[in-house]
Formats: sequence, C-alpha cells, structure tokens
Amino acid sequence: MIRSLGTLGVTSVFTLGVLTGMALGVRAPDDLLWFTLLGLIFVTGFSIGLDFSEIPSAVRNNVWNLVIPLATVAGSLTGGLMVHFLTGFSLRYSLAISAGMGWYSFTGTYLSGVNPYAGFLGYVANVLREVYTYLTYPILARRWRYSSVSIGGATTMDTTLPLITSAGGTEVGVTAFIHGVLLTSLIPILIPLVVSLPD
Amino acid sequence: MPHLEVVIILGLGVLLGVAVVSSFKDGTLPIRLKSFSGRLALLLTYVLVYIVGLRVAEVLPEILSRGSQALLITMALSAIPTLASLVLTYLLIRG
Repeated sequence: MIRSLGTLGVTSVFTLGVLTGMALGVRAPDDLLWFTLLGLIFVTGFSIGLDFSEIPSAVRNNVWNLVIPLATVAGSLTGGLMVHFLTGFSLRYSLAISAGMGWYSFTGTYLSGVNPYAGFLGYVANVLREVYTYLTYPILARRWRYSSVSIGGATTMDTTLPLITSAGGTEVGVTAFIHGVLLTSLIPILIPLVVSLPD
Repeated sequence: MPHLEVVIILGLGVLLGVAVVSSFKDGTLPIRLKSFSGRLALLLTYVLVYIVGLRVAEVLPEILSRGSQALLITMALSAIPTLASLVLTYLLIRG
C-alpha cells in the first residue's frame, strides 16, 4: 500500500509540475535539471556500491541472476524496435524509452533535456511499467515466478521488491534485487548511447 | 560517447559505496548510509519528476494536438517492451 502511494505520490508531483508550468510559465533551467539528475545517479551508484559485494556470490549461486537481466534488456529493446515498426515513431526515442525499463525519473528527465515530448512519453511509459508490475506480478508469479521478474525492470531493486518477495518468495526476492541493480547500472549508459543514434 | 559524465558519476558513486563498506566492517555506518541514500534518492526523484512536469507543460499543446497518437505510442511503449521482456525471459529460463 505504501509503495502504491509512492506511485501516486510521483504522479501528483508530476501533475503539480505541469500545472505550475502552465499557470506561471515557469521554465526549469537546464543546469538545474542536469545537476539534479547527476545527483540522483551518484546517490543511486552509491546505494549499489553499498550492496556490491553481494552481487558476485549471488550470480555464482544462481546463473539465472545474470540471464534474467540480459533477457530483460534484450526483450525491452526488441519491444522498442517493434513499436518503431508498428507506429512509425522515432527509432532512437522508441529504443531509449523502452530502455528506461521502469526507471521513469531518469528516462523522463534525461529525454526531456533532449526533447520534451519524448521526455513526457518516457516518463509516462515507464511509470506504467511499474504499475503493470504491481497489477500482474502476483498473478503471473503463480506459474512463472522467476521469468515474471523481468516485467519490473529496474524497479525490482526498490519499489516493487517487497511485492515480488511476498508473491514469489525470498529466493526470487534475491534474484529481483540483483536484476534491479544490474539494470539500474546499465540504464544510464544505455539511454545516452541509444539517443546518440542517427534517426 | 555522449554524456560520459553520467557513466563517470555512476562509477564514482559505486566506488564510494564499495569503499565505505570495505572501510567499515562492523556494518552500522553502511546501514545508516543506505537508509540516508534511499531517502535522498526519493527526494531527488520528486524534484526531478516536478522538473519533468514543468518541461511537459512547455509541450502540452503539442501533446494535446497529437491526442490519440500520443496515447497510442505511450501505451505501446509501456506494454510491448514489458511483454517482450517477459516472453524472452520465459523462453530462456522456462520458470
């Protein structure tokens, strides 16, 4: 419930930002956006570093801990490619938004610095991925408790971890945490790389 | 590579976290720092989401003018990559 309120909370703050921007015509300076984003990346890296020593042994104990994140990345990018072919939307933004894998604060912010429309799509699409995880993991975990971790993307290291652990069990919780950590480390590298592609 | 500073900052954060854990073996300080960094990350997330909201307000007429197209792309970009991840993972690990 508390975690669900987290999603509701960020949506409220997002709406407040839109309303403030419309009413007052306030424009966020590029530097503020950029340095706050770098601050978030540093803090996220620091959190990963605090748990870093547990990753090699967890991967050695269960090879799925490495296979699932790789499959999530490949699946997400394949999905982005499919959206490009189905809708004709820009290839690099389709790939970049799908490469966000649920990390809406990074994807939305990074893309809004490049193209505000893509930033909006990146934010909403990745918030929805978190929402889908809340709605579907408890059902999917009855049959596919490990492979269903992939739907949570990067959120499986924090916001959706309690849900996955309670629905899938402690062993799946460890897999989900490693999955989230690896994806969170990869996303800040992957999105800038994809955005730099020619359209 | 564009925005190399993103990778450097992420790497510095990870290195600092690893250094803190290896310097304080008793574990009390890392646990406190983990709690603090979690709250700080949440605060920064709220600030960034607010800024994204401000940015979106600038292009709101464009989003509204695209209406159903924007909605379709948003739904497609959230559902299809999620589903493709699930299917590919299931095909690989069958569990």
